[in-house]
Amino acid sequence: MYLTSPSINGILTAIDQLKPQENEVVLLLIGEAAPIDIDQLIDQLKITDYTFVGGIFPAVISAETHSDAGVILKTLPTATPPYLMQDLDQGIHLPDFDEELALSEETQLTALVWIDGLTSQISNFLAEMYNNLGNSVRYLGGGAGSLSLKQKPCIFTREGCFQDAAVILFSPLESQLGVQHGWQRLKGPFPATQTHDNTITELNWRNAFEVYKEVVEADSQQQITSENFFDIAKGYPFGIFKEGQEDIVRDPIVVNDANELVCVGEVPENALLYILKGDKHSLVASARQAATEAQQGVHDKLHDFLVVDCISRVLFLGDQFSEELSALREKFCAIETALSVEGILTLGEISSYGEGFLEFFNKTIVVGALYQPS
Amino acid sequence: MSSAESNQLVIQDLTLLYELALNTGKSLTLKENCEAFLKHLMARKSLNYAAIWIHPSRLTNEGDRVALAYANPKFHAKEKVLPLEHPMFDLWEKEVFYETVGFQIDPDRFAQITVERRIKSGTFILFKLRQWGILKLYSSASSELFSEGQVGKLRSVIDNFALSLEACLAHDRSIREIESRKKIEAELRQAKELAEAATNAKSEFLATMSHEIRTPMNGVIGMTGLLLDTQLTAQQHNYAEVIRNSGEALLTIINDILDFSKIESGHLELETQAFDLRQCVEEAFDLIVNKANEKGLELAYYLDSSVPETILGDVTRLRQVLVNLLGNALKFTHDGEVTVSVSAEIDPAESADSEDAVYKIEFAVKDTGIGIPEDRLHRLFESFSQVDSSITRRYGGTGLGLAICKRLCTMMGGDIWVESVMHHGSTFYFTLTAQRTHKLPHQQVDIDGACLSGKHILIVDDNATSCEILASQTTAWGMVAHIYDAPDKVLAALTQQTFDIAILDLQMPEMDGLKLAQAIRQQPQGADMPLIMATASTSAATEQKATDAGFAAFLNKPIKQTHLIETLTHLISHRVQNQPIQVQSRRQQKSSIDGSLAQRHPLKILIAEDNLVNQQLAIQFLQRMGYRADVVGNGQEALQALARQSYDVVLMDVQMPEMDGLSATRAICDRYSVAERPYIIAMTANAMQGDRDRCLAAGMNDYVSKPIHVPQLVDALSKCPSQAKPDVLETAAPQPTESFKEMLDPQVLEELVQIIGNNCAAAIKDIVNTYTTEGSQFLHQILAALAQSDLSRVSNGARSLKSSSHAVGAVAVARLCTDIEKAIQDNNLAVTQDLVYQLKDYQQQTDVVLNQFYDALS
Repeated sequence: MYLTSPSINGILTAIDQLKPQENEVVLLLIGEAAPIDIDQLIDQLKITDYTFVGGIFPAVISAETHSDAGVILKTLPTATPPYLMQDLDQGIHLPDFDEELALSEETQLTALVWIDGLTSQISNFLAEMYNNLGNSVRYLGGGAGSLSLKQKPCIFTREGCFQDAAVILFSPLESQLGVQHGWQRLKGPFPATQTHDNTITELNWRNAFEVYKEVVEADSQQQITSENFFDIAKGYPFGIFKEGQEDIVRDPIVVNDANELVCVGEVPENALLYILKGDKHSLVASARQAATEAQQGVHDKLHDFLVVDCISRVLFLGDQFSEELSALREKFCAIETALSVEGILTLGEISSYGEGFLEFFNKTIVVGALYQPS
Repeated sequence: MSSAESNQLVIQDLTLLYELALNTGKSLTLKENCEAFLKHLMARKSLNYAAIWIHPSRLTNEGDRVALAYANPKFHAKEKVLPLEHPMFDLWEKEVFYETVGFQIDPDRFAQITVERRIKSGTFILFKLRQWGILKLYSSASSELFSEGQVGKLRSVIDNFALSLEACLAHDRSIREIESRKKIEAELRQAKELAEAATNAKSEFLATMSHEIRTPMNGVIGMTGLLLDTQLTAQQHNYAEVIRNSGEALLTIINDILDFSKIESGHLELETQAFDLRQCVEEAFDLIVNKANEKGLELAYYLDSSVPETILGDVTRLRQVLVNLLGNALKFTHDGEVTVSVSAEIDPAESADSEDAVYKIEFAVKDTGIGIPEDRLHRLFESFSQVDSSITRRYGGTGLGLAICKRLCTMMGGDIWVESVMHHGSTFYFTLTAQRTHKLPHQQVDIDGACLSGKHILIVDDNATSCEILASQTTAWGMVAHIYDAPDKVLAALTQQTFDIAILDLQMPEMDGLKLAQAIRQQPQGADMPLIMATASTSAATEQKATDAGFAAFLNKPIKQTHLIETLTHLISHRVQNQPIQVQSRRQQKSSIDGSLAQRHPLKILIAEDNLVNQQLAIQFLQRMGYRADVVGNGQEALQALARQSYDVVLMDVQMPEMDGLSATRAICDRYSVAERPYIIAMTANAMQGDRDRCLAAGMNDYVSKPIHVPQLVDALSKCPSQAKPDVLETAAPQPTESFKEMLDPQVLEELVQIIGNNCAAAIKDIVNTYTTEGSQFLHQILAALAQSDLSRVSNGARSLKSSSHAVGAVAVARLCTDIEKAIQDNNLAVTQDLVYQLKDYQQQTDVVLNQFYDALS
């Protein structure tokens, strides 16, 4: 359910209308500009018996529109109570998930993961999660937070609203995922000879910014400086080479005083990087492709679609972003006309490629089809 | 395949190799190293699982099973260890580098090697990590993970990865070893700290308790001493003696504990001063010689020529160790001998010519006692440990002595150990490290032993050790030593050879030294040969007989080297010059302690000294002179003791806790008039003139330096006026305050018994009665003459009494009579008076012991 101009009362009324069951959790996906006092909302929600989790994102998607002030409400069946993990910047301490592992012996679970997109330990968090759960579950999620890239509380549950936090929700719904980005290789590969977490210091044993600048300026015919870096770089992300799959996109967002490139998400040292370039057609086509992948094998017990799309694709596509949404809608309607396209625009996307490694993506669209197990 | 696709594949392979190569050996920690390498591999190839299995030969933990060293994601890992025979490890036996196992191609083999959970299909690839590891990769896809060409290229990268893992394992082993060692060290340190804390607490407690006990004990002992000086019946006197002796025994134990706790708590500091090593050994013997004589034990010592004469060290503590070991040896030896031998080794890094060379000096205290069982030897040097509890009951002692010795030896840079054979005896060895130093002033005068060179000396002693020591000493001076252990062999030898001089032991079986001397004199070669008697103890009567038999000198056992060379050079040089040889009495020998000083010059002595060893030494020296001294630990206690009873003399240590000697002296001078106050002798380690002046200025009368030297102490005591004058008009009960041996010469009495033969008891009774009656008359005669100041009659009476006394072996009375005669000759009325007062006591005591002797006979 999408609320365009939400209020606390409006949200509470809408939730009542959804009639959440005892084994269901209410998912609140809130645009960062929504005129809502989150603490008050939480206080009001706590009065009810509903289990709820939520996040504040750069924007939300409904049908062919996106809004930074709207709210998406969903109810999802849960296998176990949601997990709230705080203080991720202090260290990652995940539970063993014994109960979920036991349940996953019988049925495929889908783990919905919402995480503060600006916390520093996302890669470790995902690595540890995959270490504990492997491919016994499917993963779908993304980074919450503000497009201003200023970190603030953005993950909430009954316990409150927190930054440096994540919430994990295990649903007994099975899922089929489509993951695509549509960015094409422009130049490379360049070995990332010196990196530290999400910062690239050297490419090919040279200053990273110098290498990047040479390639991007040659292609864009624009001079790139630290001031206009974000505007130009949004069209030239890095791709980490992965065999048999699309490269994993890393979005450079800042060039710092040391001429290092700061990305959203970790860049492993000595990884091979390509500098990518996108065009609007390939990106829209990739959205269509993701939707197609998500539909494969999905039978008639489809429960919901959930789209996790990167906010930077909006920035890159601009007005043409609606074409991406239209392409998705077009695909979904072919299967289930009653379901609307709903989702979020995030700071980084979380999924595994099918049964493979759990990854943190940038500039990527992840489409999840959730359905009842047969 | 188009050329672009082909190029793309080449780039893929190369870039994979590049990534893996750069991520090999990123860390010496196994997990981090695996993670860096496999993260890239898994990400690039979209693998679902990677694991490393390691052969037990490369693992630090014990066992013979292959272990899972790394797994990602760990949720797949089910089995953590596998037997070596597991089919997965067949690869080690094969020549190939890898094995691909697809579920679809070979489901049986797939099942064989699947030890993970949640893996039911897909493809495994196993890589051999040299001969000790397996890298296992898994993909849920059914397609081949690597082409044959790719594996060929991967081989060197994976080999390098294996090498880096081997480094990690080696590093891990060394880290574990270090950690284990550190852990053990930390545990040991903690245990040590706990033990030390406990020891310190124990020592503090003991020190406090001992002090608390010592203070009232001093009162008990002091007051009992006072009680003993009053009129008591024989029984009461006995009771009081038992109290006094028990108190002193208890004080000794407490002092041992105090000393031990002081060492344990690290409060003991050794002094470093130059001292004469030989003198130190001799003084230790001086302290135990009486006890040895009582038990009839031979004493001897030998210092090897390698031993430096003067060293830097703590003479008091060395003497403490020696006295302790000698005391133990005496305690546990019932017949035979106790010997000390000393040898030295120069530090290999030092030059023997160096004036201040460092030596390791080894002492061996050997006895022929009961010995120690082998299984008890290791416990000997532990505190509160004796061989067994029955030993404690039989021989007494706290069991602290050897523990103290061990710690002192350690502090002196040495060690202590023991060798023992049951029923044959024990030898306690100890070492110390010390620097040689210049001779002390008193050592500078060397006796010229040149006249001894080439002279033949006859040594006769049934004790082989004594013979050997004498032989080695005389040989060192260039003499030719001839040793005989039996008189008949000597007499036979005399017919064959001429000797320049002879040393004969007095006490020998078959024929004693006196008889042997007489026999030697009968032989032409022995008629004018100078004879020296070596004896542990002798009486005046025996001495007289020896003189009559032609002995020219006496040497006390253990024979001191200085006495020996003095005597030998004196006798040989006079003989060479054809001069008459003067008999050297054993009492004229230097530095032997005069056991009758207290009889001649009675004094009530208080020792104020905080150092327990010095306390003990002072007590023992004074006891050897016949004095019974009381002890206090500081100036305050000295004042308390003086308030309880009067003393003639206070031996006052200068530096003491709570109240030092100077303050105590000033306080005494303030409280008591000149007539009332005791004579105060300072005892101090400070040898500067200024110290002496400070002591005298504070009101002290005299000054002796520490460590205490007997002659100096005797000199100082001799100057003290005695206030302990017994009241002559009172008839005090006879008290056996001197031992039987000191009052009577048993040899004279035994000769009497032999002469009288049968019915000797009755005859002896008559003799005793006669002597008692006659002696009493002489005494009254002397006292009456003294009252009239008729010294001539006093002298006559003394001479008569001396004669009677000699006849019955009453040596103490006889000696006192001689002293009275001499005092009268010197016209010294005061001394004569003192001696006459003593004579009355001695006379009564002699009567008591004579009657005891008679009782024993009947």
